[in-house]
Amino acid sequence: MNKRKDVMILDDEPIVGERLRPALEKKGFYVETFTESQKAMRRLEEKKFGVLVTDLKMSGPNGIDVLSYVKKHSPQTQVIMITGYATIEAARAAEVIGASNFITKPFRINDIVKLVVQAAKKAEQSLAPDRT
Amino acid sequence: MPLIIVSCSSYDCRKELAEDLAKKTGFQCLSREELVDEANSSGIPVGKLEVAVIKAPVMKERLARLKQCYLSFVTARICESLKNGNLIYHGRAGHLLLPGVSHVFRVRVLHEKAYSVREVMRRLKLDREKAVEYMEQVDKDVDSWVRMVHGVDPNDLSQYDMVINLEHMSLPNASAALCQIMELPDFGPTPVSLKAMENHRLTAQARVKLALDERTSSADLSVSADDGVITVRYMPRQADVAEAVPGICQDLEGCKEILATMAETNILWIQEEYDTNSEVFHQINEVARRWGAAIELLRWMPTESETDETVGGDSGEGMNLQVQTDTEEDVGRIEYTGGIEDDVEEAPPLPDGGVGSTTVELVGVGRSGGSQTVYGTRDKLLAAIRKDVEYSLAVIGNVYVSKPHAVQMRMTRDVRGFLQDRFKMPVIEASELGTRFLVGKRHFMRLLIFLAFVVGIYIVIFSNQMPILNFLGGEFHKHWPWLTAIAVAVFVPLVAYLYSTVTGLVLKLIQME
Repeated sequence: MNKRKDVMILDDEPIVGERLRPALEKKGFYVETFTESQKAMRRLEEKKFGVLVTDLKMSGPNGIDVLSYVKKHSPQTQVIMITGYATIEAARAAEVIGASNFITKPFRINDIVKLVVQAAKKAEQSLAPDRT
Repeated sequence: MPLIIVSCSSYDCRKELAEDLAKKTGFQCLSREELVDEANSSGIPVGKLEVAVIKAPVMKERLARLKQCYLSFVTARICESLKNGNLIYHGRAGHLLLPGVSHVFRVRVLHEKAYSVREVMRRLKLDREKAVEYMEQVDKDVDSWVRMVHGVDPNDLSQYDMVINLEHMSLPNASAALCQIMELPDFGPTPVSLKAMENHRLTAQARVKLALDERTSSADLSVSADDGVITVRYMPRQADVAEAVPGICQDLEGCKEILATMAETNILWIQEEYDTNSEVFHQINEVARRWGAAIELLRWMPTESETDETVGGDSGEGMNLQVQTDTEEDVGRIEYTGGIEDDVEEAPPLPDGGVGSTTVELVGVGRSGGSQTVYGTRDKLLAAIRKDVEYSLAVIGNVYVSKPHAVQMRMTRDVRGFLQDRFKMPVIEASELGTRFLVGKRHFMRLLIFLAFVVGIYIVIFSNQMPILNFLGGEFHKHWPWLTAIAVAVFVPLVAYLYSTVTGLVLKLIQME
C-alpha cells in the first residue's frame, strides 16, 4: 500500500474518527482511528503513516507530545493538529515542532479532507527519493 | 476583596509569579487558560478567536460576536470568583477587563528572557534557537490579538499600576514586594468601585446568558447593568428577541429589573463602498451614539438601466446578500458532532465593498442595524428600503463613483430628491453630516459670533429704548412712516435668523437636536 495514502486519526472522542473515516476512505485513503495516544504511539512504532490527524488535548501524552514523537521517529509523516481548545501558544508550538497544519473545531468535514489531501501530497514528495 | 491582575508575555513567568503570590497571601489563583477551557466547555469556541490572528477568519461579523461573548465570559467568571474571596488572576490583557474599578491592582511583569527560553525549551522539548523563534512569534501574535480584541497597544505601560522587571529582581522578591504594595489603601475597595464591579458582573453575566441562548445568540444586543437594573437594547429588525430577554436574564443574582428596549431610532446609510477609516463612518457613528441609534448599511451598486441589473446580482429581486446569516457554528447546538460539521454548499464570497468590516465595527460598538446589498436602478433601491422600520435619517454617501465628479454630484442630488419625495425621513448627503448634526470648532466659532451679534442687538435695543420707540411710533414715524416699515421688515427676520442659529447650535451642543 502506498504510504502517503495511510492516515491515522487520533482523538479521544470516538465520534471524530467515526465522522472522518468515511469521508477520507471515499477519497481513497486507508484510515486507522485511535482514541488513546499511548496505543497510537505504539502503532506509529510499527507502521509509518503518510498523515497523522491528531487532537491536541488528550489525557496521557497530548497532541504536542505525539507530534514531537512522530517528528523524531518518522519525520516524513505530515501531522495535522485539530482542537477545540486552540490557543496562540499551542498553534505556534505545533508549527515550530513541525505540524503541517492546525485547524480549530468546529470545522467542516470538507475542510479537513482538503488538508489531508494536501498533507498526503507533501508526504509523497518527501518519500519520493526513498523509492529509487 | 482585593483583585490582583498579573499580565506578562511569558506564560511560565506569570503563572509562577501568580502562584507564588497566592501561596504567600492565601488568595485564590485563577488563570486565563482555566477560563478559556471553561468557555470552550460552555459552548463558546474561543479557539476561533485565538487563532484569528494566525489564520484570517472568514466570517468577521461572527468573530465580533464571539469576541464580545468571550470577554463577557471571562469578566463574569472573575467577578464570580471574587465572591469567594480575594483573587489573583493572571492572563493575557486581564488588566483591560474591568475598566473603572479602582480596587484592581494591575501588574505588568517584564520577564527574564533567559528564564523564559529555558522554560519553553523544557516544556516543548525544543532547542534554544527554536524556543527563541517560538517566543518571538507568540509575542507578536499576542500583541496583534490584544489589538484586535481590545483595540489597545498592550505595551503601553500607562495601563498598569505597577511594572516589575524580572531581569534584575528574583521572582520571590517580586512577589514579596507585590504583597506589600497590595496592602496600600489606594487599592482598597470603595463603595463606588464595588458598585462598578457589581455592574460589570451583572452586565457580563447577562451578555453571556444572552449569547448562549439560541433565541438571542445571533441578535445584536447592547447590554448594560446599573444598580441591579439590566438594560438590553435590541435593533428594530430583531424585535422578536424582546420577549425572550426577561426569561433568560431573570435568574441572575442581584437582578432587580430587566428592561428590554428597542434602539430609539435607525439611521440608513446608502453607499457603494464602505471604509471604517473614512470620516463619514466616524461622523455617522458619532451621530448614532448621540441619538442611541442603530446604523443600517444599504450598499447600493447603481445601474442606469434595467438591462444592467444583473451586474454581480443573482436575481431580479435586487437584494442578493443578507449579512445576518449565522448558521451552523452558532453556540447551543442540539446534536453533538465532536466539532466536525457536515459540508454545506456555499456560494463563493462576493466582494462586499467593505460592508463586512464596517458591520464588524458596528457590532463591536453595539450599533449594527444590519446590512444588505442591492444592484440596480433607483427603483430597486427604493424597494430595498424597509417600510417596517422607522428611520430618522438617511445618509447618501459615495454613489455613482465611476462617474465624473460633476455627474456624480448631480446624480446623487437626484437620488436624494427621489428618496425625499417618497419617505418622511430626512435624507441628506454624507458631506452634510458634519454641518447638520455635529459640533466642531467651526460651529463653536459660529456660535460665538452669532451670540455676540444677538447680545449686541439686545444691548443696543434695551439701552436706547426712547430713540427706538420714537423711530417706531413717535415724531420720526410721523414724518417717515415708510422708512420705519422697511426697517422693521429687514430687522425682524435678521434678528430671527441670528437668534434661531444660536438656539440651534446650543441645542446641538447639548445634544438636544
